Amino acid sequence: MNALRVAGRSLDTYRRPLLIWVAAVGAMGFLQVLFWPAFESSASEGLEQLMENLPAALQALVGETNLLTPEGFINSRFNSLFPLLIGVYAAFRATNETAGLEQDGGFELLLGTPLSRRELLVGKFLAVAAAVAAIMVGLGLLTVLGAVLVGMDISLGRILAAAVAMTFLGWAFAGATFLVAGVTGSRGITLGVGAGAAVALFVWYSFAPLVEALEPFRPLSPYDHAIGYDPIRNGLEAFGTLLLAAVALVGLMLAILFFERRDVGT
Amino acid sequence: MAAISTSGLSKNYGSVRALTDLDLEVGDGELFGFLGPNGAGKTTTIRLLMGLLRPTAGRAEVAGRDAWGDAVEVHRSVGYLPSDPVFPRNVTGWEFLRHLGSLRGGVPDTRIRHLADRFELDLSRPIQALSRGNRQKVGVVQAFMHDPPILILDEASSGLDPLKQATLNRLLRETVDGGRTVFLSSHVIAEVEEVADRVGIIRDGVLVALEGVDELKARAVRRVEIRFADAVDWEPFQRLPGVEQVEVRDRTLRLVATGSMDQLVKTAARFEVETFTSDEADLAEVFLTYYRDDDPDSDEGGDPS
Repeated sequence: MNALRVAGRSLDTYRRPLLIWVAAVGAMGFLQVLFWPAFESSASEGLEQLMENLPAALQALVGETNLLTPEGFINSRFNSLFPLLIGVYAAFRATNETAGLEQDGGFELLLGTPLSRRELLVGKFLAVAAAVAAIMVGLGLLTVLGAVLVGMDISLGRILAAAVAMTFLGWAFAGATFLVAGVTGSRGITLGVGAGAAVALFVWYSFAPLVEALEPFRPLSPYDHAIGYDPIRNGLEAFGTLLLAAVALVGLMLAILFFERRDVGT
Repeated sequence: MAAISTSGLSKNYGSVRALTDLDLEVGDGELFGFLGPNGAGKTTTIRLLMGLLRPTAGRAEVAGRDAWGDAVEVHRSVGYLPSDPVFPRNVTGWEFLRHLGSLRGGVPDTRIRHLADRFELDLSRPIQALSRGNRQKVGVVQAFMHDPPILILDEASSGLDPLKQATLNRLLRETVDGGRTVFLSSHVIAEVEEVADRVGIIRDGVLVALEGVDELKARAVRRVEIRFADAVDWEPFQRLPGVEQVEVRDRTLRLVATGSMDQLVKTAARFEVETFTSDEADLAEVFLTYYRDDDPDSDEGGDPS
């Protein structure tokens, strides 16, 4: 119960920036889809050839070569920009709600009440998880709305599935970031490791397929389990989603374990 | 049963000894003043009592429970004001105090309003928009609002204007008169000696003195400056007990007096006095007198033996 109070208070404090995030990311998805009819009619097969002739590294960055299908068009962002964005966002948000607050002395008054350290971290995690979910659900719904408006021939459910997969991806990075905060209590280290991992593992996910020796290790990146199996075409995959949930949960539990055993910093 | 007790309580940060072997008991209904210069280990002690720090050695008990292992239970009986309390952004005094109250199982609005009114605190404004003194009041209100049997306050009057300091002192006295216990830290002697029953003095992480406020007052060190109408002979002043560092420039006499001022005033009254000013010396100077008493052979400012 106390954890829910902490989560509610955090979300309330963060209400305005969160609304801006939801609106901005949602608008990106919405506007992209609105361009689909113009893109579809103007693009010739030359584009496809152009994409196929692109260096492999650039193809990997775009995340999709078949831009002329609705799925490919959506994937050009759902398989590149958005997952990276939510991974980095989750790391930043998780840092601010944990080590960032702690280092500023923001835990002092809360932990002076009968609020346990576990309740505090669970509450903070719920707040971060809710923010990640709000942004991704907003993206999914606005993209679906755009697709309906322009009459895109695509499974709307799978757009939402991709948004859900990315929500779990964000939760996984939040859990990992909580763990660093639980161990160190240092804002700099937590943000560096959390956001650094979100970027580095995206690069790993994007470029591992280009190197034969690395390709088998692509699943080491959590991105592979959120978007690697192409949820826009295949729907939500249980294994990857559960794996990401497990990373989030284990990260949070270990964070609590370490946080309960060390000094609270200021 | 003691409200607060520590035995051999120590805290090291690496090789830095922030607190060494603190043995202390604060009884029920006592207002205990914890004095020391900045960096002496006051906040470390308080955060150990609050279970925010894990002791390197020894233990602390608050309300009969282990401060580290049983922190959540301890906090049900405690009101805590950290030094320089930090508040979340985008939140009004009301919102935040109700939030803290809800974590304590609910605190009546009337109680919050009553305390806020005493300190003339506007709870409808965002805390971040408040002045330093007003933010401190929010901190004071949250410590007292659930009427806890034990209060642990770190530099409680910091940032408060003299009127509100007086309000706080009255509140502190009412609190102990009602049978509650207060542990109050400060680096200003005057603040503590006005309200406390007993005082502990800490320096470099070591408790160097533990005594009643009356004894502390008897040892109070003051800088005195007297300006006379005519030039005076400083010989009689120098012979007074407790008077040191006598120095004369023209018609002005400067000295440092310890304890009762009675003899000094009577001696000065034999001459025509234009002005008489007396400032309380800072804590560092008081410590010098302690160290001299502890070990007459040691240099001033040396470690107490």
